[in-house]
Amino acid sequence: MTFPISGAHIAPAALIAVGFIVGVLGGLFGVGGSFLVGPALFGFGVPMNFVVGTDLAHVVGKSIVAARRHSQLGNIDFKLGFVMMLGTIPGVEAGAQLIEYLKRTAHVDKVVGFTFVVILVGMAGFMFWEGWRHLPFRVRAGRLVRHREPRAASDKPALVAHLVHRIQRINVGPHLRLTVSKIERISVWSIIGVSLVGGIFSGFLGGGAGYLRMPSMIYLLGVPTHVAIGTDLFEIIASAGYGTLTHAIKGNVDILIALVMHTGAAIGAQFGALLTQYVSGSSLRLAFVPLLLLGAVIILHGLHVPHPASGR
Amino acid sequence: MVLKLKRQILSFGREIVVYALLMAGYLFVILRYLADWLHQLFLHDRIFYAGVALAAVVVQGLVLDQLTRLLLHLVRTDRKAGE
Repeated sequence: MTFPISGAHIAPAALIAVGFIVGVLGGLFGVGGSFLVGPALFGFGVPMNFVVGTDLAHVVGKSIVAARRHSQLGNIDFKLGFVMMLGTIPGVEAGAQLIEYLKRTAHVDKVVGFTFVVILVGMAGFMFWEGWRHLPFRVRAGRLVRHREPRAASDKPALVAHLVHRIQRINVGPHLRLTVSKIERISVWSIIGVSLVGGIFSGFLGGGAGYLRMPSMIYLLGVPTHVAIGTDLFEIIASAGYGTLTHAIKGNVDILIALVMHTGAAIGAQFGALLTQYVSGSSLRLAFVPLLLLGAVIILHGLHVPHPASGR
Repeated sequence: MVLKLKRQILSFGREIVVYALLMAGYLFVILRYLADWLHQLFLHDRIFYAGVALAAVVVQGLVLDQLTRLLLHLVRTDRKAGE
């Protein structure tokens, strides 16, 4: 069927299927998955500016539900979340303005597309490394050998611990004490810097940019993983909400596509939560690596063939 | 373990069927009756469209969450009654 706002011809079932996969990822890992929406929508023939705006709108609905659950579990550092918004919202606007500039120069598909490819390939590499590192076995002399002490997911390499220490010691006031995140003293500017970069990526590529903000919160600011997940979701509601508004005003949101996709995500989230009881996170991370690479291939293919809805 | 998994998959299957029926009805309404109105809004009043878009996705998120909880509650109650 034709979605009149973006002019894309997509079967609603395909959108629900994409939403389902994204929902499964969200249910499994708490965050993430929206990075797959971009390649899928672009592959379906949605113009890149609509891909970005629509992905942001879809993320709002998803994050509200997930953030409510994390709030009940006490995983949200509200103080950190509100400070992060000071960086994220201007970042989202900067990303949206960049899209507008690229729309005027008619390079939006190429620039956003290639940035997407770099992010997807980078994430595939990181997920493979993370998944492989935590598998309970190793390949030695062509045989699978049980690995005695798989490192805990919270283990941080020495370099990362050193980096966190350096960032928390930045002596530019004002400083904050974050009780929920167990951070004694941190400069507000470190938090705003991290969230600003995340916001730019969110406004420029769509979605919540959790692929960037989550590792930054954990490995740069030193926030515990479960608090980083909850706080990121809480913060995404405001940043993606603002992103939806600004992109919709600029004519980059097809809300019909977002609503249809979100129905699949709601079911997928339940399925993902059910799966966590039977499959380990490391195996799943490895299973999603081909999906990310497929996303990159879809975008590269889309950039080299005439786009069905180009010129809108 | 296998029995538990079987039960859960069965419950999930039932939930999916109920969900699918509700979603089919919902999507029919959205795509058939709201599509034109939203398109006109997109063309003629972008600021109002932006507000409606954000409100729609927020409300849908909350309603689907409540619906999911209700369905899960019904499925679990049904499963306990069967045990």
